[in-house]
Amino acid sequence: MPVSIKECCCFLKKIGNPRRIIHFALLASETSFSINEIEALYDLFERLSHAIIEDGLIHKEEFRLALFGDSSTHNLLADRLFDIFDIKKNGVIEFDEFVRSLSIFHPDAPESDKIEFMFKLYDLKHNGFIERDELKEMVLALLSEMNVDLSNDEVEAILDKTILDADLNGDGKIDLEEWKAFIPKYPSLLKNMTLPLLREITQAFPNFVLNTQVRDLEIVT
Amino acid sequence: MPAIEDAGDGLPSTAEKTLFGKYEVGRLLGYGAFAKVYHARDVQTEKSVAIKVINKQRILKGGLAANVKREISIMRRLRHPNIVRLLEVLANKKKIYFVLEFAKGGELFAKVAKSRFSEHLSRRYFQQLISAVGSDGADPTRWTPPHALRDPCLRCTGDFVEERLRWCKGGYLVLRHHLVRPQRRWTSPDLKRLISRLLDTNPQTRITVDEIINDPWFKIGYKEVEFHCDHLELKDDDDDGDSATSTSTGDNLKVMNAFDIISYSSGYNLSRLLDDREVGERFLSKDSPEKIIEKVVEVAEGENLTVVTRKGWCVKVVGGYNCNFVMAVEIKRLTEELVVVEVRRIESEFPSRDCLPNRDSQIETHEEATPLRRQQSILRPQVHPSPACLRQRRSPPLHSRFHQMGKMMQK
Repeated sequence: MPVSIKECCCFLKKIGNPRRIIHFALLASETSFSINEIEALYDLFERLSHAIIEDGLIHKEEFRLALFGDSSTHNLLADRLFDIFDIKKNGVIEFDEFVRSLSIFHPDAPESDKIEFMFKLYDLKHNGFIERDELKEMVLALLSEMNVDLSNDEVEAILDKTILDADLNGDGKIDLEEWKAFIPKYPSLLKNMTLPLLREITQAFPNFVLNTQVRDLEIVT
Repeated sequence: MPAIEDAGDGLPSTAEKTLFGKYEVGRLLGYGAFAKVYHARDVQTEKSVAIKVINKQRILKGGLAANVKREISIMRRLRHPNIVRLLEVLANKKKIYFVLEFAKGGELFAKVAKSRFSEHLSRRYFQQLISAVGSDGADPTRWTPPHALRDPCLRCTGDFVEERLRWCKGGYLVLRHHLVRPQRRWTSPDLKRLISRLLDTNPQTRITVDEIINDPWFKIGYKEVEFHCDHLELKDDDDDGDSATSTSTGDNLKVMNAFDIISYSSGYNLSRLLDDREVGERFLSKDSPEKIIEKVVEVAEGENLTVVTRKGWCVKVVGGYNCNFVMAVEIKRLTEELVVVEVRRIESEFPSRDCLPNRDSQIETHEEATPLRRQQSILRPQVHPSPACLRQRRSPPLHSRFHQMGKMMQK
């Protein structure tokens, strides 16, 4: 008897995917999330990754759509975040990459991970330094995002002050060690790196409660 | 009283006593048709919680899967001192676990069954019920039954759906039979009148929640409860030691460095990926921070909002129907002339009546509607003034007023 693709999918859904639970358990052991939380994140991922192109991968346009409600909005930091989330550098965010990257934004994630993530984000040229021109590019991008007109002198004054504050060895740029020393002086900078809502992820995306693959008595850490 | 017959429903073995390695499960607190509730202790924080264990098989058999999901999304949004909060949801193949805030006191029903209340005590409980009922936006006009109530003295682990069904069956639940059942000796005429309006069988003429709140008997000693919202924290509320940011202008305003400026980028706010309830905007102003704060307070008071926190250059205001509007305003210095005013706000979207369960087949149709709505809201963050807010005030939504204010100050 011929079996339709639809029936086949239904069947697969019913028996669940035994490989998936192993995959999720592995992710759980390597991140700040529990298996249930990863299942909830999977729900979110499915929505994001099917928003424009239905291939189960988050494309840059889908990332922008989720952040700005518009897939064509260019934003320097959003594009940078996308590039960092895309660990394998193949132009899309896979589920693994999504979970591992979001894990750094978990309230319980180590602060040092957050600090390093930020450094990577701001090191636009990936050369191990936050240089003055990179900093300027980002400041100008934000000012134009906010429609703020500052004179070049005013911008330079802000840059001078920040570099002076952060650059300990006087080479005019900020390296990772200097960054690690700088952040504790301004802990409020870290606030973007924490998403308190990740604690509530199972409530926000509760579909997993019905089709979870977590077995009875399973120890979930 | 039915016996606790089915051990498979609960958490019998000692091996299972530490749920997910997180909660030490203790004694049974109560049970219903689909769930049992246990006392438990969070292993990490040592805090007491209540865990409601739901048997999935029974839920599926009863066709109540959609209700469970709906209950989660409703409880997640409810933030009210008289309602126990849902802290976490866990699940395995057989069971669903709701981890709930633990409230001492026991269920209202047990209290009612034990003894009659004085008119005074009845009023207190009734006020709590109404206060909680009003906040769920369940029924915009008619007085509806309570669910999941608590108090220093009341705990209800009640199932939202069950409770509502019970109500729909025609029981006037607590009120009719017990709560304000007057002592035989004497009932004040005001209470008599209120009861007769509550028991009006015609839903069109039955008293509304708003009318109850304004009832002379009800009003005695009634204080609108203080809302607690832990979503919108002032960013600089804590002692985060940014002392190095002290200023040359003498107003103690935090001076932004280049990284502060960058962090304002909307592209760096990933909370949008997860939730769209918080909306923020920033604008520049040449006004002195004193003047801005003054303006914010003035507009807030004009809108009947309450300033709850005012610390340094941060102000937090709440208001709206049952305080479902929360807004935080923070000011930082950008240059010697300019300050940045950051306004963030949340208008809670309490469930409107059409996503509430009904006895009839409507449940199925809503099941399709709910995920879709959620999906849309994830992909297109937008502000919709909550229905509850519109219901209460005919004036334009609050945020537009604040937006205008922003425009005004920008000039």
